[in-house]
Amino acid sequence: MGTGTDVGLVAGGHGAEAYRPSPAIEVEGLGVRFGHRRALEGVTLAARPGVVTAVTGPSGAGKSTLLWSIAGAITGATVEGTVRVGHATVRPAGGRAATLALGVGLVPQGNGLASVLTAWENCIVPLLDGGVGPGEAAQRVSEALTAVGLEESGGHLIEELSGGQQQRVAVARALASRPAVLLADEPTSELDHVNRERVLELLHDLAAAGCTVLMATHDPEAAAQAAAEVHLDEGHVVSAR
Amino acid sequence: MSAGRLAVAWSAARHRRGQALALVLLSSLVTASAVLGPLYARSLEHALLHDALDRASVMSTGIVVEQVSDGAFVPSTPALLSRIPEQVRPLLRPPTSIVSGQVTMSMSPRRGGGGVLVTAYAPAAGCARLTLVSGRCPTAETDVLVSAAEARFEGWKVGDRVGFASSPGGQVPDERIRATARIVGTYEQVRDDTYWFGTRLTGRAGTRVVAGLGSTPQVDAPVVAPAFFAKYAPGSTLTVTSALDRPTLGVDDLPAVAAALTAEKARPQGDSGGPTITTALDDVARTVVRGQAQASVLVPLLLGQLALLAAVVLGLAASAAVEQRRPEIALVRLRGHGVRGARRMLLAELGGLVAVGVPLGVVVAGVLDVLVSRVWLPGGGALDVPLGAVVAAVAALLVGVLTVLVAARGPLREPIPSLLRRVPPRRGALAVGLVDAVVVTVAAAGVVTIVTGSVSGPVVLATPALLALAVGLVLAMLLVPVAARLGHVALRRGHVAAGVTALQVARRPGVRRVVAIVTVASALLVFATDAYLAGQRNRAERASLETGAQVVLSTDSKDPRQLRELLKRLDPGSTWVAPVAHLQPGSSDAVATMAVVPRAMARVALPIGAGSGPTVDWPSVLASDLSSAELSGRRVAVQVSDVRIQRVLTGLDPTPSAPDLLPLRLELQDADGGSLSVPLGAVPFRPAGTTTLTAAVPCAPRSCTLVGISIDRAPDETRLLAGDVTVARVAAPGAPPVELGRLTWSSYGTPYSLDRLSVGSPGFSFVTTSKAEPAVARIRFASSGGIVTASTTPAPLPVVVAPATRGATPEVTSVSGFVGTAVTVAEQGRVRVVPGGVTNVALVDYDALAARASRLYASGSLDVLVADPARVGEVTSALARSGISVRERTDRAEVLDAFDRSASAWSLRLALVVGVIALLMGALVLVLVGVTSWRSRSRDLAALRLAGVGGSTLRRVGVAEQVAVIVVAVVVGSACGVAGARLALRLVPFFTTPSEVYVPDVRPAVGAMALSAGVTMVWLVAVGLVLGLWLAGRAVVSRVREQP
Repeated sequence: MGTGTDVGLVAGGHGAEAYRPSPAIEVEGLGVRFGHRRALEGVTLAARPGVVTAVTGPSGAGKSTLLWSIAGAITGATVEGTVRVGHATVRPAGGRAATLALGVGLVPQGNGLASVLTAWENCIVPLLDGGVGPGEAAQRVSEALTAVGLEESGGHLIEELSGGQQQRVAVARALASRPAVLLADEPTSELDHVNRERVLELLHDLAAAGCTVLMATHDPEAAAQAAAEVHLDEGHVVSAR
Repeated sequence: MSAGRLAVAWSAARHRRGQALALVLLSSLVTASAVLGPLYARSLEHALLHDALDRASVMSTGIVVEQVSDGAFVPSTPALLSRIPEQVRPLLRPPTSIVSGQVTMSMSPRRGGGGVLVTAYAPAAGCARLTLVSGRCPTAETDVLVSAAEARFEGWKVGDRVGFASSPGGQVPDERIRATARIVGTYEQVRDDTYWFGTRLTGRAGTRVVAGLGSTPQVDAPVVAPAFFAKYAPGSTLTVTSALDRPTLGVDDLPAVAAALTAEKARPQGDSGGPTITTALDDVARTVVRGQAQASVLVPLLLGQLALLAAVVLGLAASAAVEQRRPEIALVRLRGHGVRGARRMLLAELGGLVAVGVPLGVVVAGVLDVLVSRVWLPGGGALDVPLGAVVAAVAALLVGVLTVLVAARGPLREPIPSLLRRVPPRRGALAVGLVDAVVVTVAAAGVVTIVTGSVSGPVVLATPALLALAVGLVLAMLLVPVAARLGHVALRRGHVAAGVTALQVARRPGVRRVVAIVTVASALLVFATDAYLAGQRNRAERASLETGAQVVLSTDSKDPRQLRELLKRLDPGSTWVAPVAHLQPGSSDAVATMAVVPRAMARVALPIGAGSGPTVDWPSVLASDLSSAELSGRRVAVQVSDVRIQRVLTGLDPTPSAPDLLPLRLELQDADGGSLSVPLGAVPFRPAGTTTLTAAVPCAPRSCTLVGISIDRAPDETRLLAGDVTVARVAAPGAPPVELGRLTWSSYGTPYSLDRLSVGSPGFSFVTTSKAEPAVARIRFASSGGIVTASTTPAPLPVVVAPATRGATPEVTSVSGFVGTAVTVAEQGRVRVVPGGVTNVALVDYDALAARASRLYASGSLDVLVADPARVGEVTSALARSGISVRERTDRAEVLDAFDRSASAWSLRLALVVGVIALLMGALVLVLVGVTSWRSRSRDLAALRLAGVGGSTLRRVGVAEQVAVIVVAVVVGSACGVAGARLALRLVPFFTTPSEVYVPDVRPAVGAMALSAGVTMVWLVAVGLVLGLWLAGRAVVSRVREQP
């Protein structure tokens, strides 16, 4: 298990390159409880930079909760255990600002996009607010949308896109932000074969560029393509490779 | 509707409690606004009647029918009662009959004996409204009851005898009908106007009335039995009076009462000895009916705008509710129930909620009506439900149901896949809904109709709402592309908060309606503020114009100089009291005279109001030759400093020769306008030697006016004389000299060179003066056979004339003076109207007019204007000490109070309530839109937060999205309110009775309108701020995981 001290090439592709440290993810004894319901219990895992790590398991196994905990985006839950991104310890609940600063991107299940904005706007707004200049932001967004095959659909409102397109916009938004760590929650669940392959390829390219990619999926083929896999069931890690 | 469907609807309503509550409340608000109109109009009618009756005396609202007996025909009470219209009789109290007649009553020697004319009364009810002090009530024809005061004064006691002679119609006593009546008792009158109708039997014992040089004793009225008149007074009058039974008179009776009484009074009165009917009840009824007509239009129109706004808000809520039910609509249609089934489902649920709100709204309207009536309507508080309120409630229900159907129209037509989408499909940037288009068209047509003057009257009160609605809808339509464009530009420039805000404004469907509604609400408040203030201002200005001063005392004084001097002592600085004389012209086509003291009027007279044109330039009325010709004293001394006779020609009759003396006369006009020629004596022909002549003059205590100096001829003078006489001083002893040099002198005859004097030359006089010697006048004269007089010509008095247009009143060159004679004047300017609301009048200097004659003989009155109501007592006391009585007092405050208690005032007061409710409704819309859309909006913000957008940016977006729309809508709405006020106020009736002279001032109250716009802005922005922060606070990242 890596310690997250590597420095990798952050995916940007198409000529735009930026380097940032790609930290490893370490989770130890993570337990998450929503009221009386336990979503995760004693989960321990590690994901290293440069490869795609798949988190698999049946529905309700706690895959999304695990990714959201690592992203520091859990709310209304009781949490135990520790989550580290590189050397930094992350608060699974309410720690999103910190994880954003660490370069942790999250592609949520569904789409997690603002319905009132277009695909292009959804992608560019976080960049602009993060201090990226308008010109560079626009270029990154164009590249990301092209990468997911939506270069023609940037002007459409999210609600005017299909579920698969929305999912690809979410991936494009994550790509455009050039994350050090990408947490992708079921990124291919609504995609057709071609686009599924395209997105998986993008994730692997991203990992190959040095990014730490943790992908929740119940797609066996996608899991099989991953370099590592953690299998969850009822909130517990039942196997890992 | 089946019970099952209702149960489902109830279940659905319980599931969305907040929304159900909002729909019920909004439906009740629509109903309350609609129903409150007729309810308040009805309460206002009651208040008008209550107020009119309160202000009217028992006598004016009662009915008096009377008929004089000619001896042969004796009128009867039933016959007189039959003259009262049938519709009016049930509204009256039981009638009272009194027979009265004039008799001459013998007086005691103490009063000089003889007889005194007095009216004797024989009430049909005997002594029912009399207090018997002693004795009993008269029953026989020779019984008489005298007042206790009269008995005391005369020393009468029960059993004494008093002589009577019949004097029908106040004529000379008919000695043939003479009797001696026995005093059977003494009485005091019970003061009960419903019975006596203002007749005062007592209060005259021992008094006398001064008439001319003598005086007449007065006596209290004797009370006799009806049988008395049957025998002794054939010219008696039967008077039947009936007071109004006020509680029985309802507002619905008024039109019939007015019509019946007017018709009855139009019949020949008292012809051929027939009965006459007297009442002012028809006037009271007509006044109330006029107010009723005004209120029945003004009030529903004001509240109709509110109902319109509420209906639009209800439409918004219904649209939101229908939007939330898109999946349910899809489900119903998927189950095969079709569009009709879906419509029934929506009607059962949403229509049911609307229906529940209707009775609630009726109750709210009733409570509001009672509350508002109790607060500002006289006699208010009782709820009277007119048919109009029921109609309004039914209309509100229909509008509510129609609103639901219109809101459901779009989603019901959408294909099922579209219904299953999370948000409705986006319309084109400038896409216009059918309903919006209809509303804009109707509103624009309405505004154009009003602007072009095709409609007038109270209907124009709808202008601001119509204008704002049209503008608001257009603004909402324009806002979409403009905001979208701004959003794109902002994002391209890297301004995240501004960009996202603008894009949200462009794309949120609720924003359009928020813009329209906030625009209307702002316009209503701004307009209501201006309408309310304009009403208040105009009532105040008209009250000021019509009274002229805070208090006006009309006196019985006939002495303008005395009044002036009295007021000068009271107010030496002329700062709070001013005399004014109103003099009627001799002919109907001439202007009246209003004599004023300009300096006092400038401080005491109230402004005439901005709408009535320029105010009087008081200094221009001031006469410059004031008092220069006034001579006051019992003697006069005239100094002649130089008598230089330059030519002496012997006449045709050279003998006998006269001494070299020149007799002089002083020509005067006394205070009554009478001419006096006062011989001064003669001065010798002596250059540069002063001679003082003295004479007695009747110029005290009331002064005279010097009108000329005559050069007389000695009794035996036959010569032709020509030369110069220098009069150096004319003065009463101890008084300053008359300023001869300041007077305007007119020539007698045509002056010519003295060298040309010859036998047969005509006489002339010519006066020269010098400013250096103001008391001196040099008279060049030629005396050829008669008196030559150098006359002073009073300089034309400056006048300011109303009205302003010369077409209505030709140039005024003379006005009526105090004694009724014409006074030459010169116009200095024109105004539309002068203080007191008088027009067709010339304002002239009081002192200058009084200097010409000090006694009021012309038809007119002398008034006192008082600036400080608290000092009226001081004035009346001073007047009383000088023997001057106040005949009538007019207070501006009372006139204003009467205006304030009118249908127009009470209706316009409602405008402010409407404005405030509109403001609350604007806030309600913001809350409603926030509550119905918060989930999707906060999820969008949460999605951005998850993607890395900072919390402060999201807070700015949340707040700015609300505030930007509010600011734009309030600014535009306020502008619509201002524009609406400009259009509508000139046609709004501010008064129940229009004025012939007062022009309403409809200038916008800019400060107040700006303030109300500011209050609207602060209030709605505050609500938007709270909502925006609340929304941003709920945008936690976990919300992204929620399914919308």
